[in-house]
Amino acid sequence: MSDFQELIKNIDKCRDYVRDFFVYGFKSRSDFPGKSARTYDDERRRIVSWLPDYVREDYSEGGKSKNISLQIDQKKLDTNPLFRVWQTKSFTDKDLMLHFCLLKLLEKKDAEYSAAELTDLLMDEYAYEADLQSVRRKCNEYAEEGLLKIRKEGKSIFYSRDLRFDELPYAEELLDLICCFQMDQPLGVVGNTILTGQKEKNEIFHVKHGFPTFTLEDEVLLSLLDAIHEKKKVKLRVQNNRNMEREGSLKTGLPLQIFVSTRSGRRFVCMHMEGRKTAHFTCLRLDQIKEVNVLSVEESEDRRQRLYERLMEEKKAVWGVSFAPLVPGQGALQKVVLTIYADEQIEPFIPQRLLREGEGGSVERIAQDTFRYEKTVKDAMEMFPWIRSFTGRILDLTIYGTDGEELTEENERLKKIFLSDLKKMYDMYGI
Amino acid sequence: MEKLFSEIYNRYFGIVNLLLSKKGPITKKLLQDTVQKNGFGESLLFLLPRLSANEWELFEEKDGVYHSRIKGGVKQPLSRLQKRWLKAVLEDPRASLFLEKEQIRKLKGSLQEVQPLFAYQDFYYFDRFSDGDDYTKEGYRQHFRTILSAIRNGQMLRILYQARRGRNTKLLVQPYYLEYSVKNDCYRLLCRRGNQRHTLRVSRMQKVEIGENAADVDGMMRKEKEPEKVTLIVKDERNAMERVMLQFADYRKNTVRLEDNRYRCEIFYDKDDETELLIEILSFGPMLQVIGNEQFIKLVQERLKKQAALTSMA
Repeated sequence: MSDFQELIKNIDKCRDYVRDFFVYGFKSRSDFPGKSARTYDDERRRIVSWLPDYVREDYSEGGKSKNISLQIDQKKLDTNPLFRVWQTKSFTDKDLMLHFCLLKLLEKKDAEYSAAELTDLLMDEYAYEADLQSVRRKCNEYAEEGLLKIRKEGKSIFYSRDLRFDELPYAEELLDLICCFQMDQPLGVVGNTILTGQKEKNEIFHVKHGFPTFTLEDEVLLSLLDAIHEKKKVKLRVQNNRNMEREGSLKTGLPLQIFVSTRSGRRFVCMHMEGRKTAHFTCLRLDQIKEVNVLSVEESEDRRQRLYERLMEEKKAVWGVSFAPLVPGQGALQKVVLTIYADEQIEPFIPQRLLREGEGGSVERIAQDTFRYEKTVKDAMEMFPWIRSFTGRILDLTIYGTDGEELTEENERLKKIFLSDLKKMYDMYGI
Repeated sequence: MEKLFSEIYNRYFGIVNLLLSKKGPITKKLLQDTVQKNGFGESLLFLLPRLSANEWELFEEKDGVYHSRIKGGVKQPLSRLQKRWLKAVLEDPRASLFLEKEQIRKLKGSLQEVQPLFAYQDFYYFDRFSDGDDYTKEGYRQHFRTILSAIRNGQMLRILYQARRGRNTKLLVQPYYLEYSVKNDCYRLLCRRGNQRHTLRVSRMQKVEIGENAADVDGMMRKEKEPEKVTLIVKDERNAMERVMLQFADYRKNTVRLEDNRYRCEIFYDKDDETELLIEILSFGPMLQVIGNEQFIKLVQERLKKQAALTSMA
């Protein structure tokens, strides 16, 4: 008999499966090396159970293997279906009984009892025989979660319930705000838990350019935000494509900010890392962080502030997340100059695009229908995807050193990559 | 530290609470319907038998039906995590679209015992467009609230709208959704005018008034158009596969593995988003090839022809 359960104790394993089924949608059992067939089957079955309206099962080309994908069109949704992953924590019979009975006993605003009194009341009101220790443990756990308040009187401890949503002022207006923010704010899943608790549904707001998979990293994000606020270093276990088969690598540093891309579907933690010889900022992808260990030593406010200010300064020359100069030893900065053609009469939105998407780069009209965009960056290569989005209008692309000299060798190399990519595209489409 | 993965947010607890809060008798049929409607795909198999057998003794059985022993169910207090999230999002300039300054101040006062879960400077949206909406403008806030009220009450809207070239147009529309774009940091109204779907940017509205009551709230107005489909071949070089899959993760898509490290990916999109999708595809350069539909291939070819004609790059 199968011991399959719909609910789970630990979310780590299924997080990766959900992500792979959603992001890739073509992986089958053989794409999960190191996992037993049983594990794969159980995880797959669970995901089908949690997200039945979004699952599509089909066979790979040639019909050799069965795979599942999650068909989610974020723009049409009233909530993020992947939030359901967070509603699957398993529980014991005792957890369930104590949850409902204790919260009911403490429902009145002025109700306040000790653990011993609650144990007696459980028996009197619900004929539920619980041991004092379990009641005390659950009450303390709920106090830790913020559901209950604790008042100490001598050696005695009394419990009462904390604030309810319907006791907040302007709860109705607040519900509209939550309906909207649950889908686009960091940790929106928390807002979703409030809506669910209030039996409310969003029927008004949609989100564009949101990435449903972000929620799968929310526990990692939560730990990193705590470390940022407490000014503590973290030790991260990072697993990427290169070390997927192994346990991953360990990275230690002081997290300072979360970098979010609204286009690439990635979030990063920007950390200050110190090696034996160098210290630098680096960005690590949240979806590749498997474990966050917040270290106990706190950085001084002064030093943290100095590092934060340095980061604010350095990131002005970072296009995306790359803090490393492309060519070590050749100066840290490169000036990218992009010349674009746009018909001023009928395409005024093109120079506007350069301005609003150009991350603070300057835009100058240098001739009729010709515009020059300039930006100084650490890693010009990071800009290529954006520059390519102007295909059909690019008159010139040149990369200079910040002293005004053209980085001859490097410029040539980058330009070559750019042109060779264009050539490949001409060939692809028979131009 | 607060837990996000906790049984207090568990879906089974929610279902049990729904049942406990039922006023009348709870029949086996009602048990089944409630689990089916609110549970996961297999909850009928895992949760229903335990409820039907009254394993947790949360119900009293009388004449073959159940009655809740916890009358009215429970109203769960807010967890610390929920309070901290609320306090954090009240700091967002967009909060003023929903609440007055004084209301925000009072709400923060009610949440004074907790620290916000995050601060706005904790996040840096590095590729967000710089011309986002100004949410502090009184006119914008009024327009936003009028739209919100019209959608909720199923009313038409009369809008004086500034089109792209500065010309003002009067529109009578049926509003149905407000869409927030994370990339553009702006709100757009998705609406219908006659048989045409329109997307109007809230910041371009000069005047917004409630019109007469709407004729059709749930029918035609919300009906979605059939999506367009573009088919791509992805060559998995320079980690392209992962980048493509992540970048297009906000679209509905189908991907099939072919031979030689190549993949075929179908992306479904709204016609309104075609230009945006086109430039996103171009940004991947030769790592993506559009193989269908014909009209989309032509769009790519046109851009490439224009580029080839700009000879100074060669």
